[in-house]
Amino acid sequence: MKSKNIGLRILTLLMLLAGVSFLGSCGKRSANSTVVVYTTHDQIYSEPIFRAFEEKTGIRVDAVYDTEATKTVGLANRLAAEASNPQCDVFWNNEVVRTVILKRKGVLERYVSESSRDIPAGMKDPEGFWAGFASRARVLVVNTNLVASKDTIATFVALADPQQQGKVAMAYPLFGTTATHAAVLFSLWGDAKGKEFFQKLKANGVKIVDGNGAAKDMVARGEASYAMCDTDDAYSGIHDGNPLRMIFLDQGTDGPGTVVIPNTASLVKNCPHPEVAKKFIDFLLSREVEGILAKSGSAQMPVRAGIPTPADVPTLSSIKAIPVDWEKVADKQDEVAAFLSDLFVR
Amino acid sequence: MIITLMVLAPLGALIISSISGGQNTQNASRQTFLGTQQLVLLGRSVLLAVMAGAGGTMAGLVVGYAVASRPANVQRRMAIGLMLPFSIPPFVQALVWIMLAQMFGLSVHGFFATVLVLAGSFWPIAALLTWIGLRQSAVNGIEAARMGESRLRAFTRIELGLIRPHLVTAFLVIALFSFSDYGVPSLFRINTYPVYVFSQFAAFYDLHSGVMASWPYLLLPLVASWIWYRKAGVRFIQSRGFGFRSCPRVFSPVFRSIWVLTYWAAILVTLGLPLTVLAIKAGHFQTYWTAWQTAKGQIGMSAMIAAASATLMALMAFPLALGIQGRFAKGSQLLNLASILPIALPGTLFGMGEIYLWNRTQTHWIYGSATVVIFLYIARFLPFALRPQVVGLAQIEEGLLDASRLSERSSFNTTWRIILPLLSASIMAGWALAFMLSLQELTGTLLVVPPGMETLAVRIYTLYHYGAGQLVAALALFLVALSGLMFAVLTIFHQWIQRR
Repeated sequence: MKSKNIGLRILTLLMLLAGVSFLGSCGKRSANSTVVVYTTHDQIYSEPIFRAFEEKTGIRVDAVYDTEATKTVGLANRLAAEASNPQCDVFWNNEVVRTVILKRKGVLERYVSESSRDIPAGMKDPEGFWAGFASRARVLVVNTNLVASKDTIATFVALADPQQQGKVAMAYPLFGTTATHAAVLFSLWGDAKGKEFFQKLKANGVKIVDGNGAAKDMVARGEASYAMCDTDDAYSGIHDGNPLRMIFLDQGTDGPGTVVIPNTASLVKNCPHPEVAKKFIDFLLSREVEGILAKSGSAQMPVRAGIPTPADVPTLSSIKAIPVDWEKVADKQDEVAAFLSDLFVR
Repeated sequence: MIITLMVLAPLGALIISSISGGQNTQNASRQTFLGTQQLVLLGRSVLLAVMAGAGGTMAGLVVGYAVASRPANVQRRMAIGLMLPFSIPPFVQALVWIMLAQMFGLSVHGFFATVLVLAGSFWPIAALLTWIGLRQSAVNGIEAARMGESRLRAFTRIELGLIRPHLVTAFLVIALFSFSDYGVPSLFRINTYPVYVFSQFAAFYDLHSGVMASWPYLLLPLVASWIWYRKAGVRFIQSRGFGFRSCPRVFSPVFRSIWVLTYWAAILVTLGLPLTVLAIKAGHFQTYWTAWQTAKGQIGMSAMIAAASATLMALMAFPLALGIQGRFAKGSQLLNLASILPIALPGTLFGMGEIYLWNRTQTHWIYGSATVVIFLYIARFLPFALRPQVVGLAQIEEGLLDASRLSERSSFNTTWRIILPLLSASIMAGWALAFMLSLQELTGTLLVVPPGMETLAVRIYTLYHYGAGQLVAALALFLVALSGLMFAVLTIFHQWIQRR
């Protein structure tokens, strides 16, 4: 019995230590040594940027990442839900539309970074609430074992042809850049053509999966011949040695071009650490970061000319891109999402 | 009062929110309550749960019987071995099978893969309960049956009947866990009710729609709890009178070998194979070093949060266990039932409740810190720390306590010198279970994780989707190692106490 009491005392001591660790985990962040970033950019590529900032400035980055299943939308809505009690300082979004919507909801604050002076006008908010950098393009990945070069489709609308029955995979179009792509198409084509296209796509048996990466993986495994995804997904699949080819659609003289989507950086209104947040945005929008992201596995295309990129990463000037009015696309977002949600019930 | 505050408050807040209209952010697809889509998903989830429950229970019955057939001194070691597969969470089991299939150029996904992995993750629950049930069974009855009947008839007519409460409990627990699991179906790309509810809330942060979609989560566990309580609960809890004696089961050498092989095959498939696949996938030592360098913060944070949560749960569970055993409060049966309910509820519900409760300016110090994660784990897993203590208290002979009172010891002295030492094994078992579950929790953590406090489970899950297979495998091994290490430390500590 005496030994059991000894054991209990040791146990009690351990419990006290655990309690201390509990209290220690609840410490408050220092105003000038921590910045809180919510990012929808793939964690594996955004973390090195955070580490680079920490090394350069000594300011710790506390990050929240989103899940592939609720890409971008989830984190944007978390920001909106926290608007009265902001936890986040900087929102690093991997697309534009949700950033525009957050601006409209009053979640963001105007900040024009010095680093954004040389970013092209079409890649930043004229009112200074967000700036774009390190872009991706929407592309088609093709399984080279299943589809010969001469048979590969060249236009986006061809994905809905009956010949492509059961051959196409796509991320769930309510989230991420697929949702953005859909909204851009609706604003470009009009509602009638947009609805007709997606209805045909569904009738064709398009395979809906969680995320661009999953769509790319289906094509890599031969479970689908084509998938719509982003350039970073395509590059990672090709570099992994999969039988994939990447196609920029609608590049012909009559074609509208493909959708190019930049990352965006924005300051959160009433954020807890505004001064360090501005320093982080300055760093994020720098040419240095665009160069790092271009060389990384995500192969992001710099929005500014003159930044060295690997040979297999195209420049924006070499791609025909759809000129996008992001405000108009944001106007269409809810309506398009409602339609697609009813159409692609899972 | 503790249960109300920690467990029912988040759930109560959700119900209030749903009635009042709650928060409403952008919601592109406001779902009606139990529309066609929801009914289909609900049916799919129920079928998944029933099949996983049946499969896991049958597998557990066979392995549990294999354990009970061995000599008493071997049984305890084998039972400890049954705990080891718990160190691998179900979503990591799913990752393992995906990786294994990819090694052979195959793809594994869909409904039946989900059933198999869930049954394969939870069968140890049934095995342990079967073993406990067989040890608690009326030895005389079994021996009498064997004298008059064949072995098979004695098993089917007598032994199975005696362990029926344990099998019913195992089936319900496995079915409820499978019903509310998010990680496995999402990795196998099937849309189930938990996946739908998580996606709806996580995507749109629409608390009202999320709560309305979650009503089946509240009704089904209530139904299951009622079934359990009526069919198994009383007989399951009241294990006094028989004690832990092994009933000798004499088999031929061939059968003995079969039982041993069955046990080891089960351990190999659910523990050995996953560890091997993860090690192969992780590959070179450099991967482990990179994983450690990039994730040591998350590893430490996960261990610390899980330890703090488990400790608080163990402390809270003791007065609750005393209450359930009727030593302090009336209405102990009601308290017992209330303590079981949270077992079946998914992490999504608790995550939503914690956000609704604490996402306010006045409670910023909770919402923006690890405290909200600890509260989530306590709300979700307190019953698991509680049940071993309830069972342990039921084992204590009343005579010991009467003798203590007769020797004029105060209640505090009786508790400190008699009850707590006798309960030490149960407290540690509850602590270990709560620690492992907290370490492996995914769904709720995905919703509430504060900035910079990403847990290891969340990191593994999110990195997997970005194709970092080697890194994911190494991190999964760290997660398993943490659970296994804590389990080993507690086992050694308990054996040291027993020997002294």
